[in-house]
Amino acid sequence: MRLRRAAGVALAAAGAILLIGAGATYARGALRQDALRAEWDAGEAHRAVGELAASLDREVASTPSIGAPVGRLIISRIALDEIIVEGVGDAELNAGPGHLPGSVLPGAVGNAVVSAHRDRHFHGLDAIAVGDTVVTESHRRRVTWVIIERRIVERGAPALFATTDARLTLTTCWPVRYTGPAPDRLILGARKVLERGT
Amino acid sequence: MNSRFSLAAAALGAMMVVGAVPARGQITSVIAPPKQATKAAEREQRAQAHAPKRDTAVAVRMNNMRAWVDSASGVAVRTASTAAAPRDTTAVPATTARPVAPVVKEATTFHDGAPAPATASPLPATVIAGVLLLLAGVALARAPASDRARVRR
Repeated sequence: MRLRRAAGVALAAAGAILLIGAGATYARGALRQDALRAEWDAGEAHRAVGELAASLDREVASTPSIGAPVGRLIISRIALDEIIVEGVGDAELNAGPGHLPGSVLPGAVGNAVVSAHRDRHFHGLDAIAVGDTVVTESHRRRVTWVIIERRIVERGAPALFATTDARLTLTTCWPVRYTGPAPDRLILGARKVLERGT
Repeated sequence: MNSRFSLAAAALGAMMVVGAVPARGQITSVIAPPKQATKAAEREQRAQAHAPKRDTAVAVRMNNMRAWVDSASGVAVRTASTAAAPRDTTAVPATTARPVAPVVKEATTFHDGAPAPATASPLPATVIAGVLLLLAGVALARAPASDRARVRR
C-alpha cells in the first residue's frame, strides 16, 4: 500500500515537473513577445519622429540581427497580432513568428517568409483560406496581402521559392492538432494588394 | 736386487690400483658461472620449455586453404610480392555495411527551393505527457484512501 502511494506521488511529481517546464517555456515566449512589442513600438516612434525616406530605405536594405523585431503581423480573421522576430531558431520561434533570414522583409520585392509554431502564434492558421487578408507592418510600411495559395508539403520538401514580385509566405507545422513532431508543413502564399506608409 | 726392484714395482702398482679412487677436486680450464647467472639461465630455459610453440604446419595449411578458395572462385591469388598487407576478405566494405538513413534538412536561411523551417515543437506532447502522469499519480496516491473508506463501510 505504501509502495503504491509512493509510486503515485513519484508519477504526480514527474507530471508536475513536465507541466512546469512546458509552462515556463510558454511564459518565457510570452514575456519575450511583450519585450519585442515594446522594442518595436519604440523603434517605430523614433522612425516616425525624425528619419527621412532615404535613411528608411537604407535601414530596410540592411540585414537585421537575429532576435531583433523586424515587423508586425496582423491576421484579423484569427485574432492574431504579433511582432515578427528575425530568425527561426528555437528561441526566436518561442518568442514570436520568425522571419526566415535571407528572405526579404515583408513588402519588399521577393519572397518574405514568416514561420511560427502551430501550438503558439500560428495555432489558428489552419482556419485561413484563400482570399483572406493579412496585414504586415515593417519600417513604417503597412502592406495588405491576400492569400492566393494554400499547400501542404512534406517536411524537408522544397516549399519556398524566389519570386520576382512581392510575396508573403506563412509556414507552420501540419496537422495543426497533432501529438508529437508533425510530419508535414502548411504553406500559405499571399500577394501584395495594398501598401501605404504608417 | 732384482727381487727388491720387483717388490718395489709391485708395491707401486698396488698403490696405483688402490689409490685410483675418484678424485675429490680437479683443476680444469672451465670456469663455473656464478650462482645468480645459473639461476637466470635456468629460468630462461624453463620459460623456453613452457612457451607456446608456433604451429607452422597449421599456418601453412590455412594459407593453402585461402589460396585454394581464391583460385576456386576465380579470384587471382595474391602473391607475397603483390600483397601489401594481410586483409580480411570476409570483411564487408564500409560503404555497404550500414544503410544511410535519409536526413531531412529544414531551412535556417532562405534560398530558392528551400524547405520550410523547422516549426515542430515538443511542447504539446510534453504537456499531454505531464497531464497524464499527474492524473495517474494522483489516482495511485488516492487509491489507498478510497480503499480505507470501503473498509470502514
